[in-house]
Amino acid sequence: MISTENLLMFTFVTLFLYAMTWITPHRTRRGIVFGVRVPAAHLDRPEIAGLLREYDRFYGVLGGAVAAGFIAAVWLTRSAPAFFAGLLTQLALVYVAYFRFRGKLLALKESGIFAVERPSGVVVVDTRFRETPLVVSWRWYAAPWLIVAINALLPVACWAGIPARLPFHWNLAGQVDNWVDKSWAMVEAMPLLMAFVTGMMMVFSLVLRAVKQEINPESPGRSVAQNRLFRLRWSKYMLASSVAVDLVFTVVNLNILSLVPMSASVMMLLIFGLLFLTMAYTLVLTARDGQGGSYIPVPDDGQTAGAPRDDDRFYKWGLFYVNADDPALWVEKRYGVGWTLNFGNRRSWLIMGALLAVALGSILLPLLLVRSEVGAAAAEAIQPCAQPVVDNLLEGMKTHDYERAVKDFSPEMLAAMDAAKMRQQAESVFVPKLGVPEAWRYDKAKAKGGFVSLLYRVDFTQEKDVTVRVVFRPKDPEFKVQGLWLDSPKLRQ
Amino acid sequence: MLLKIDFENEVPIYLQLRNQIVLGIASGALQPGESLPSVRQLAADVGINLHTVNKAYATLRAEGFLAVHKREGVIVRRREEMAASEGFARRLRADLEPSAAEAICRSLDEAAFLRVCAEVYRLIQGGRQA
Repeated sequence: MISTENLLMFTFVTLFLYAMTWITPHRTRRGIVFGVRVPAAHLDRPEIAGLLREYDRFYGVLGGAVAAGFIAAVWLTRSAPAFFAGLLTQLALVYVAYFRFRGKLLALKESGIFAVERPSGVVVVDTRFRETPLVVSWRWYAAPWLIVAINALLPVACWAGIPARLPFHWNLAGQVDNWVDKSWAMVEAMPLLMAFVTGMMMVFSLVLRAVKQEINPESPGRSVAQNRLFRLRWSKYMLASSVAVDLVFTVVNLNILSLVPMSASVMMLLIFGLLFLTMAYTLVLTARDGQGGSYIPVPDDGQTAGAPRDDDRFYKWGLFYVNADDPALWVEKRYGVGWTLNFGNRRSWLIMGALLAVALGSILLPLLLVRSEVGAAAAEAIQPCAQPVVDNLLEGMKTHDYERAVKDFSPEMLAAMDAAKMRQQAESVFVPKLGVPEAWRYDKAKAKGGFVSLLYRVDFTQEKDVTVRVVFRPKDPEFKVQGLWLDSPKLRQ
Repeated sequence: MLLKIDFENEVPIYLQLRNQIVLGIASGALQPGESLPSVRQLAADVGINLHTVNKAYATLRAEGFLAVHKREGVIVRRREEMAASEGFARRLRADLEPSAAEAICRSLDEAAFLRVCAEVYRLIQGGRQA
């Protein structure tokens, strides 16, 4: 059961992806269409414009239908499989559309209609490109570092105010499903993460400065000015987004430290609001400025140096730059707005590996924490605390007070079985066969898959020694019932 | 300065680089004392092998146009340091020979030929490239 906030996020991500994918072929560098170099003389051909219009129809309609379909499906079913299927299908469609139209353009190119009399291949480089600052100064990163520092110092100031058990993971339903014991490592986990992200953004600033120059030889003066503005604007955006991300982590941190009373709902909304703004602004940058800043209005100084070279052979599928002779590491993307690596350079594989490790690690680590097994001793240890919950549950069943019986059910459990349903189940199945619980005693505990089952031997009116299994999450400070099972020979008949 | 490299031209890349830089110095696009990008940076920006840029810079250094310092990197030398050498006088004649020969073949008279030479010379000196 996915929470409303997560559904809103899914909706936004879907619409964002739809808009970005639609715009992208219209905002690549002029002269490159679906990753294929088209000579300037032929860019105005009706075939090119026609191809782009056809793409708009194809992706506009199909992409829109898929997006709308999955949004509806996810809102109606609130199911996790629909959520993930939706994301995967849309990503697949992005590539289907790209390769379909790239194929058409390649066929056109092969037919020879883009032939030019004299092949040209001019590259222009500005020797003074990096002499003046290209990116926003590092001193502005004092702002996000201040946020990190505040978060790091919070536990120092408020140690006593932080509870002994810290909520550490929220599931898709927006509920806490794992807790950790308070320790310095855990309270500084978020600040550490924030420091890492902020540092990473500062490193990206350096990358933006080092990225290979890509100057359009047809109007080099204008191209240089556009590219400088492009790098500056994106470096400012990276600064702003590091502040936004640090604020997101601050919200999470405040919830983990339980210092600010905030419902999970509000927390999710704050987080998604900030992420929404951060992602949406990339649409603005893409639509307004284009790749390399090639759509930024800058007056043309009339100077020209020739026509760009046909460099299709260096780009695998029109996407991946592979040129072992080129010492450049970071280059502009050929399709899309942004930068990528020269995969012909061995260092790029190290960087790719590191980035993937960080991405996978940040997803898998919390999952590993959730799935960690509880030892038998720890499982036994929760029994005294869980006893009142079990007592209450069985007393409720004994007195036909099902409102009381479900009082400590977890929200997920309640969705499957509320008081009314339990009454119905009881009165149609258990009570006729077994009666009601009269006396019970604790038997043993079992731990499996991150859950602890407490087994009780319960004497019902019509049968003795019925096994009742009540399931808990080991670190839940409120000991909500996550599962309930009854087993006896009579029931099995 | 905007360096232009034409990959479709039969003139080797290193030579194009060398000629472009000399042109830049002559026309004032590159000022004395100005620094040029490092070998690695220039090679990465153009998209060519390090050796090619190395060869261009080495040639320019040997010819006295550039100086390479440990700290400041690649610097354009002062005009006074590039005074005409015997080697240059010889090369000038050798470079002009094919052009003059073709001009004669194509019935371009001496005055016209000299006019073109003067025009090119003045354009560069005036800070523009032919």
